Amino acid sequence: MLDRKTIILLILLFVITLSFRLYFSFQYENLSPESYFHLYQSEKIKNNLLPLNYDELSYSGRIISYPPLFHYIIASTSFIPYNYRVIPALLFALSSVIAFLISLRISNSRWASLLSALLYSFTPVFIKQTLNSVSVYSLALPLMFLLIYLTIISKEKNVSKYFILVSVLLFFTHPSFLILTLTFILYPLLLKLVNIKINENRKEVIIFFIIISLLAVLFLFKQDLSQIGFNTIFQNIPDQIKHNYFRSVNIIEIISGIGLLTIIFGLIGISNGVFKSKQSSVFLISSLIISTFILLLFKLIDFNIGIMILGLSLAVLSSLGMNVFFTYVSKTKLHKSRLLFILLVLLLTLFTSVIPSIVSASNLDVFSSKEMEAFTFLKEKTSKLSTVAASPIEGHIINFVGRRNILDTYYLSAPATTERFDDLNTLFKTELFSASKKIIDKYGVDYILLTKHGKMFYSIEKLNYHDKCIKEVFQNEEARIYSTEC
Amino acid sequence: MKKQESIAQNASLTKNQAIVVVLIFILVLILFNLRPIDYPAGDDPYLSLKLSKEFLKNPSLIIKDNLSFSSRQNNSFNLSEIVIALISNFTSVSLLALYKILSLLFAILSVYLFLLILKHLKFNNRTSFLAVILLIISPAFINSLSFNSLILFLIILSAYLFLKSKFKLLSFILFIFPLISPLIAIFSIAILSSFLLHKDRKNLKYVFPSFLTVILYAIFLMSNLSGNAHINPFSVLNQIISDFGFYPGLSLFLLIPSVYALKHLWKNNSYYKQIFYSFSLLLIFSLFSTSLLLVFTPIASILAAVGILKLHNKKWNSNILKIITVAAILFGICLSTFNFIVLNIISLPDEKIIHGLTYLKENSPEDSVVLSDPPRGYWINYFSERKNIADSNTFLAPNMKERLKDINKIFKTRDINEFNKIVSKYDINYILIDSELKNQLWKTDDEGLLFILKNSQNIVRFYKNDKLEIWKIIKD
Repeated sequence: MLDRKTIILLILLFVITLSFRLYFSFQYENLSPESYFHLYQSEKIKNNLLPLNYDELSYSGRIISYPPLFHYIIASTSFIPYNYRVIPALLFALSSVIAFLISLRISNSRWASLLSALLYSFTPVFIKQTLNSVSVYSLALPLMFLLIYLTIISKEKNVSKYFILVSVLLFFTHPSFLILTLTFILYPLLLKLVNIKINENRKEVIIFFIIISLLAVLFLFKQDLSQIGFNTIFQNIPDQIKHNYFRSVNIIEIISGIGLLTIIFGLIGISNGVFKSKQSSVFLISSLIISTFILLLFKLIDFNIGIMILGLSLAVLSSLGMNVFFTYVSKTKLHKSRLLFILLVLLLTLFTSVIPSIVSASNLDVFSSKEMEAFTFLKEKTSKLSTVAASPIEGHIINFVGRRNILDTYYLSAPATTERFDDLNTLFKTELFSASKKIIDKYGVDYILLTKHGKMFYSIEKLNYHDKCIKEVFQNEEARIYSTEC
Repeated sequence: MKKQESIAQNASLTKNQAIVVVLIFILVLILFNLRPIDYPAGDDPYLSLKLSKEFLKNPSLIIKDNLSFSSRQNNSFNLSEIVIALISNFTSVSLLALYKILSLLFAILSVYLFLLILKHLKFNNRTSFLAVILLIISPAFINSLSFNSLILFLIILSAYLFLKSKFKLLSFILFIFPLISPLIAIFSIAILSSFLLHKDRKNLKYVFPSFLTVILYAIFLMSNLSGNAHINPFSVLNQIISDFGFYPGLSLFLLIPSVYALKHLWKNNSYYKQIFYSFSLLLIFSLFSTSLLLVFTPIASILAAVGILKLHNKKWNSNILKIITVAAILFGICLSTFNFIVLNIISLPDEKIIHGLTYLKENSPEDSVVLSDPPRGYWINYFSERKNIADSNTFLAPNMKERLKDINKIFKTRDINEFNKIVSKYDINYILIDSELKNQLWKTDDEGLLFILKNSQNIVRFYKNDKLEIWKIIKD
């Protein structure tokens, strides 16, 4: 049982995390572009009670296969003002409590676990990726870490029922459950390497999860598997952006994204848990780290998401590192200065995690109001089901305002992504009207949208061709809309 | 003695279990025959049908196939196709009907022999019951119902004769096996030899005659080696696991309990190490030839049955986890079967495509060359009796890579000069496009080859229904 002081500190951490996220999130008028995909899906669920199977707006008509739980949660909480900002922030803050619980199991030290949960909440890349976003990871990550926690405590009574429930929730939330599948495959192998016998309860939940997750894959991605087979793991991402999407591993980026203190204490935790105390729960988190690393190396996971999971896992393990550190200090002549060391770690946390998080939170790349005016124009002044050509990152916002796009960033199940990416590139970059006309006719383009983000994406200032058929119908400092009238 | 009898009795299926097995077999047969036409799905069966049909007209086909790749050395020499052709000739039963009857017969015999093997191996009746059901509902077995159950029968027969130590008969079977399916025979022989080496070395001599046929066959193939083998392991991976592509491969949920069973059996008996090596070897080589899955499936069915029952009989601390896990495995296996059966029902060719191909046969000169995607090559040979540019039998095919490159080029080009160059290179007379191919390759009517077909004055539409278009190239 936790003592009162710890509970109060944990609640304080929860409140700080929630306030931090809400405060910075409300500093921005608009959300991240991917958020509009989730808002659009939630809106559809709110209206029809069922998730979209076929979306006539995305890619001007495509099959959608996306686990719908997160969208149901956003749709069902729409009575709460700004639910799309509040609910994800709440879920992320809750995940720091789960991180605390795992850390406590690993380190058995309340102080170290609280500090570790603090590092978890303020992992810079975590803040950067999720702060101003209606992010599905706000639900997927807590569920993933909750499953890890339940696996660690699987010996206790009735845990298996909760494990089944949380697994099912995760399957209906996001395909990232496959990271956990890989983790659960690696975990027994790692234990076998060091001759540790896996506990029977843990073995049961692991076998269950692996089997059910494979079945979930067959159901959720049946369409993609039947069309592109094993290539589904590459998510149908256009060839041209595969390199950017699945970037190579860069050490500097990893350090700044995760935080130096988290890395140091996390690594101490791993080395102690794996080589010295041989804790099977440390092996479990290490398996998660190795799985994520493998996925990053083979470029099967988005770079930022991979780093985020690595960072959060290390933050959880850092509790063990800190405990080792404090235990060491207590055995030296400095044992009377334990509080001083805790303050020192707090101070270092501030410099290596909290301040970089604040910097990240203050400098998020979102669409400006001027750019959003263009989308409002599309919504109000163009006919329904018009097709709008824009950069892929704007695709979801175009759908959100009720217009068709040619390409957006949800590539799975989408038709001819590489070809469409190429065609849009030609449409925006060509100097020949004849070349653009071919693409306009091919997709039935009614409007071409060029925002500040689009200009950066295609490295252009304006369209390079002129014709009486292309008329500028909207213009402000940061966005232009052209109509195609021939 | 009494103990042995009791084990043997336990190994047999109970009456109720036998009824269930028969009912499942009938159900699979009914579902498999829900195809709206008599002709089988896919393209492989049409190679056998074509070879039997052509053999009756021209026995020299054994050496040279004039229709495949416009003319090539025949590497699909197959004793069963010749025997079936001869039986059809003497009995006047159509080739298609004969193939179906024999496939069903050999499938039934395979199941019976499989049960005898299980009995011989002294598995209890629950394991035997589950293993035989897993075999019957496996996509590879269901697919064999259409044409190649003879191969499955020979595999199971060889294993049975080996287990019963009937080496002389085994020697004869292994002697003719390479003449029916060389690749599968080589692997079956290799596996049996490894078991003999391990346990019964003195009987190894009985395997030698089969090596002779394998060597003779290899000499026959190599004597005219003009092509090169083309293997794409990544795309084949989709075919090995049926759940990834709904091909007649293995179910992922059959593979998992098989591996689980091997892990446990490994501890018990070194004999199973031999099975483990064979299992792994087959799985690896199946990446290069999916036909080897036919050898793999009976082994996997037994191992999966052992694995599932081991999972079920194991003492779990959480009963609910056990029930869901075992149910999920069984459900996953059934799902693979269901997906494969649905695919079999909806797969081409259908009535309209066959009508178009027959029209081509009746209204075109005999030496015409027809361009289409390679998986349509056997259909062109069998239904239209016309030459194709390429088909699925790419092993040792002449200039195979170049041909595939040219076919891809002609489908994508809008350049009439490039089109004409490829047309004259292969002397193409007709172009065949079905609805599935059209959806696969082009999004609009102005793309690639469709643009040329629409705008060129030297190409006329020869045949059209809502599933198939045939275009004729008018030459000066």
